[in-house]
Amino acid sequence: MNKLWAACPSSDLCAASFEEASLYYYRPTGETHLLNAFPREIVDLVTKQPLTSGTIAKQLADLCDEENSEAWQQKIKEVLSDLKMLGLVIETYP
Amino acid sequence: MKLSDISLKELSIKAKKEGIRFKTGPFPVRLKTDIPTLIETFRSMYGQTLLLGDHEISQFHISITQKPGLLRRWLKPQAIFSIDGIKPFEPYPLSHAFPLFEWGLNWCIGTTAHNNLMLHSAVVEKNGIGLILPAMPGSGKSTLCAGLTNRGWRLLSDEFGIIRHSDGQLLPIPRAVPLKNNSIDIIRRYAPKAILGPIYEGTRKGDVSHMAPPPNSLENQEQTVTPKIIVFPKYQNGAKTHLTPLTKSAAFTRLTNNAFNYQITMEKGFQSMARLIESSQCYNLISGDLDEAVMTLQELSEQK
Amino acid sequence: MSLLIDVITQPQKLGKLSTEEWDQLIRFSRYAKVTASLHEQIEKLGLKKHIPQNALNFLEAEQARSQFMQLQATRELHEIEQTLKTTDYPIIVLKGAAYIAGKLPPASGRRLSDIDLMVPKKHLSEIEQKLLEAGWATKDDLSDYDQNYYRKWSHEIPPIHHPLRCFEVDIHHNISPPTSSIKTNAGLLIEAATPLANSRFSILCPHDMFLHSATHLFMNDELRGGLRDLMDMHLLSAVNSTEFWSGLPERAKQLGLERPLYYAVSALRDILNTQVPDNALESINQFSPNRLSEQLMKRLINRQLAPSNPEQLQAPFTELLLFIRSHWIRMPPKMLLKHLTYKWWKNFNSQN
Repeated sequence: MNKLWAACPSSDLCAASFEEASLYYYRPTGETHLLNAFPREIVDLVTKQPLTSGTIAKQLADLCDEENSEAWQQKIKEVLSDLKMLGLVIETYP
Repeated sequence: MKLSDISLKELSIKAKKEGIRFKTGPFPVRLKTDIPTLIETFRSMYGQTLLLGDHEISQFHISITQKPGLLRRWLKPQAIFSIDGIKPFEPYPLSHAFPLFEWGLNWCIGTTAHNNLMLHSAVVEKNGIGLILPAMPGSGKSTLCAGLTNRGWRLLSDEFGIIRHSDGQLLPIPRAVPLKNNSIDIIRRYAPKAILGPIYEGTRKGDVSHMAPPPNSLENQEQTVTPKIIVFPKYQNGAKTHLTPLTKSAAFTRLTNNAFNYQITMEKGFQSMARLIESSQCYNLISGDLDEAVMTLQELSEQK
Repeated sequence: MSLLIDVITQPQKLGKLSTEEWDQLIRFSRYAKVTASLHEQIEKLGLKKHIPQNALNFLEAEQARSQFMQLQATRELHEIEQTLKTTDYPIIVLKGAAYIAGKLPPASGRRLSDIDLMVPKKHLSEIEQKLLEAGWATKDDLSDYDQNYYRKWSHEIPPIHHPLRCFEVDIHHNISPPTSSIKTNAGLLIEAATPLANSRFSILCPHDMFLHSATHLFMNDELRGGLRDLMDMHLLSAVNSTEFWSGLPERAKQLGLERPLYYAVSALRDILNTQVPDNALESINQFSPNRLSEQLMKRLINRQLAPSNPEQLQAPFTELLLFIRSHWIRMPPKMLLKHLTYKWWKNFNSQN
């Protein structure tokens, strides 16, 4: 079964979005996080629906006009891991 | 009745007995003291402030008294700050009772008044435009603030950018503006008519003298302002004055670190900060010359 | 402070105070650290429109602070739980954090700046090790003497905190130190503890929670802010009132906490007018000390818990007496002298 990445419950977050970056207030910890366009895009993607990291990598590669290389996919995994630590995304299974 | 309408003698008696109740911005304060220099300077700085009745509510009940002890009073007279019987600080030299009062009251506000978001910044206003100048070390914020208030800007505060959660308005808290070391002479030259208090030598920040809050700032201390411009000043000796735009997310981040109580105010603080940044233009200002800095900000405000 | 006691026991009065009374109340409630609780009562009873703005500002400010502290505490508990997931011995949350974790009435408007946990003595080292490995650390400025004091003579390991959050965590193996004249069997406390749902943590059973609060209040260094603890006990005793009181004296005997119970009940009746059933009261009165001690202690308690002059909220003489007494309870007199001398010396040096 493939692990899916999903956004944390919307009730946990409130956001302030600016062109170049967004700020998120995470209610369970009271922390504020700054996400620039790249991680923000990942959060937006999984907010629409839960996705595997492979799908996220492909969709983002298309969006950014980048090659969906191994290095790219690895980078996505790292960012997802960071986002998970902040509480902004969670792992789930279908 | 204003403080300046009462004789110094009467005020001193009152300060010793039931204390003086007044409001500084949104904060009602009661001050009790037996130190003559403190009352004198307090009265000259805040003459335009209204004296409140003895049965009003005060949020802070401050007492500044001379430290007891026969030998000590003679050898090394000291002033002690206390609030409800608690003495949070070490004693100051008696002659520094006024800076002790100013700094102590700031401490009371900064550590407890969490019903609003409080930035560590100067705030001034002209033509309905609120200009916020966040404090960073070496920013020259106080000098710039003092300069602006002598070129037509109303002083809201030198220290606290108080933002009301319900509507994002800036709340004035006009107080004496502490000028340090070189700034004292700079402001004397820049604004010969500005009222400066005594020079306190050898404080932790060097020599300090306070510029009295201009009468219009005290008279209008209930009048809130909409924030429109945020400028992060940086004093750099000999630098060419230049203003550069700052991205909103960068300004947001810097202000969350700058504020007194961003974390404590939790979600309300976040929302107020978001609203502030969304509706303001944000800049960095580097300057080595007060006049140029003031003119640059003047031009900026006229563009709005 | 009768004004404060009045509004605590009859919160509807909050809607009918004069500005002069509010001015006094602000000072007393700040001293007793109960302001946020008053604010919660005002909200619960819908009294906001009757409160002057100047008072409301102050209440809201304290409310904000209390909410922040509670969030911090909840978060810290969560982090600790994650770190200790693989352990299986009981971990009991004590005091303020317990009221919050257990969603008990004393949690309302509570302020807290540390978390107290209790574990079986034999697991104390292990839990310390696990937390230190996960990033918690002792305070840098703790001298060897202080470290030794904590480990050997007190009932705690030195306080720790995680540098990312700076929230103090104190871990105990009992509720009174081994050197004190009060000997409590920690095993009994642990046996009777209530596990929290979906949680690694437990809390003390209702009787033990009450007795711990009494012990903490009367045997500790400061009674300042002790009115808060008294309120907690008042609220705890109001849940299942008759059942609660009938078993309490016996439990106190089992735990060796008769004296703190006696003082707690005296103070509750004197200050908060707490209703105690007659048969429970009869048993509890038998725990009283000799008349002289009792009179002195009652005076100290009333002076400290419920001072009447807002200009004299800090009474140095009383505090000193209580400080000495609580340390005497904690340590034999010879040790106390050495400890106090060391503390005094350290204090003296830091001021000069």
